Amino acid sequence: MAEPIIELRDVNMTFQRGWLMRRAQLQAVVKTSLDIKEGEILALVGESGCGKTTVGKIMAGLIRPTSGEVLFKGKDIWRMGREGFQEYRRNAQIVHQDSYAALNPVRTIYHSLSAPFLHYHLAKNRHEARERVAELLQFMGLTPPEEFLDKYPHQLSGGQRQRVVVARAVALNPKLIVADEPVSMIDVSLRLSILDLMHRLNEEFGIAFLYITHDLATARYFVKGGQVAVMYLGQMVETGKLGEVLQKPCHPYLQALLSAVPVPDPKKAREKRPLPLRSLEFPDPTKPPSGCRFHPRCPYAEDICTQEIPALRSLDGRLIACHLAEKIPEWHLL
Amino acid sequence: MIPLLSMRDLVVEFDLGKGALRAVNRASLDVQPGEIMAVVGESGSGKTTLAFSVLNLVPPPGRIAGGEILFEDKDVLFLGPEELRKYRWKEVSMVFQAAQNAMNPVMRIADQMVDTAQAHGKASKGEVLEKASELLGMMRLEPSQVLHSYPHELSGGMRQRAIIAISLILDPKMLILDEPTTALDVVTQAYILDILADVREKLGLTMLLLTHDMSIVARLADRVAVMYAGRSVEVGKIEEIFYDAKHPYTVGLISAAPSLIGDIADKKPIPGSPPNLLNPPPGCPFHPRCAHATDRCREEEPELKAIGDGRLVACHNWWLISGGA
Repeated sequence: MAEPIIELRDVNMTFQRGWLMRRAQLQAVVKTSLDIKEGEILALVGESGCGKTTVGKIMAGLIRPTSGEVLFKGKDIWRMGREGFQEYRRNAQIVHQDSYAALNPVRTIYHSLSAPFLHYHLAKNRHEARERVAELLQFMGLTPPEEFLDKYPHQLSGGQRQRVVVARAVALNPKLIVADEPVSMIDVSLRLSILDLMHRLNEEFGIAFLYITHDLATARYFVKGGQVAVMYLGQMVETGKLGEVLQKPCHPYLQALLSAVPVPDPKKAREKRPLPLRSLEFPDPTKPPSGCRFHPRCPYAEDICTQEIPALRSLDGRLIACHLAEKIPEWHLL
Repeated sequence: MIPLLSMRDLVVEFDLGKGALRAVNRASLDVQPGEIMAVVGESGSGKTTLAFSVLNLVPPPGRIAGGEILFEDKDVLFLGPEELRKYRWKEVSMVFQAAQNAMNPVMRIADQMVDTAQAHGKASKGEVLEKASELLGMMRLEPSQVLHSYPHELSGGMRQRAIIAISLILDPKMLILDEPTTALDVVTQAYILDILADVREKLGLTMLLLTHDMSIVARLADRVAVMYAGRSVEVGKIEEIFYDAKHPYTVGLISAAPSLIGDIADKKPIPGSPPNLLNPPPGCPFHPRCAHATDRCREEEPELKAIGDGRLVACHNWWLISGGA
């Protein structure tokens, strides 16, 4: 396949929590490596607190990891000159969950969307910028554009606002968009339309997507033939082709997660039984369990799991971080 | 069967100065004793306002402008303050959205339970604690540990289960659950849905479940009322709603719900966006988004009509519609 655009190499991210006597270290991301190739769609899936948003922010260059490398075209973005970093910034954009918070409330849509064109001198004057913004709105399905150009964010519906945020991310024709829960605040009837729009951007302009979500069902819809990476408590536990991973999940955490996702079909929903875990409680991330971070909840854990951290290793065409991967009983969705 | 709760043509308006917003517009709904009735709709469809009305608890500037709510033989909208106080929690209790954050942070769970029970006239502390332990056990919590905890010592999922236990402390006949699992992670959500199914079996409790998530409806409900723009547009048994929907909005909601199973190619969004309730479209509120809309739909609002066997649909062209998972 194509060249990787952005690579994370053994990235660690530690946050300081509390202060003085209660000072604690929170390892939000632990020794994580992840590539995104040109035009690829990768879903990064995990529950709240697993570190998926932090990985997204590192990938978009919004925060600098405590250690490890973030490579853009093979060069570390935190060691490159100003020009190189600017080029990277243009190429890696982010779409946040809350479209209302992402847009300046006192600026019109035109004002917000023309800023990138004017800043990077992609439009000679305001007149040209206005035309570019109108084209962009048209593509995003906000038609007719004249109706939206001079509106303020609060005058749009949630779905329309998120289209504006996606438009802003696309304005500079980036190679990658990090989309962090882009549809979780959108009305259910409209979620798929935002995902369809992003998919079109991928098909027509070859923009790669890192789709960060807790929702495996929307990941399946959006990623289609692409890849998925599953995180638990700061670590990758399983990555591979989404179709194969859903068909035959290997890591016990992923099996448990899939068994818990409800399905919109009453007969199947009632046949589905959650995989019993030894504990429901998410451990305190400032005091992560020794060895495999999932072992206190894992129904299959053995001695080795409490002692050694499992490395991500290759098995059946995917990567799995589990000592017992070969022994874990097969589990199927339905 | 005589319904436990019967709502007829309920109208709730919010006076916003620039005009009245009808959050609930002639919604009708019956809930039978012992069933789990799901009210499903998007944000702004009026489901929470509808639930508040059942408790006669609509906050100003909202007011119930019309209709009737009967609970057993009581006319809820005409209860006096003292009768209303007895009706709430003892007859109908509610777990509000994000209720896990609404507990008193400086009171232990045991004290919160005793407080509630005593405010409603249950006197003996020992009796209350015994009942509390039983309920917490049913919620699959360790009573001795949870009773002595402060809310911050419990995880989100444990707090939510403790709240459900508190809501059941006075043996209500009906429990209203407003988005009971949002903000919880998937594994905890599945566990709580399991517990709710269990509790219903054990206590024969009637539940009114409000949610936007068709997957949760599929897991738990016996019957479903679909709401759109303040109206109940379709009511039916769970299998009817999922496998043979008769309202185009219901069909749309099901095909817009992403799933881990089935063909992704069958999934698609509903075109357009939900109506602005300050300026609703004429005729059927769904017509601008509906593929089956005719001139009649643009002019005349369809009534919620019985189409046999307890099924209700508000669509002029329902016989042309057939949808399903």
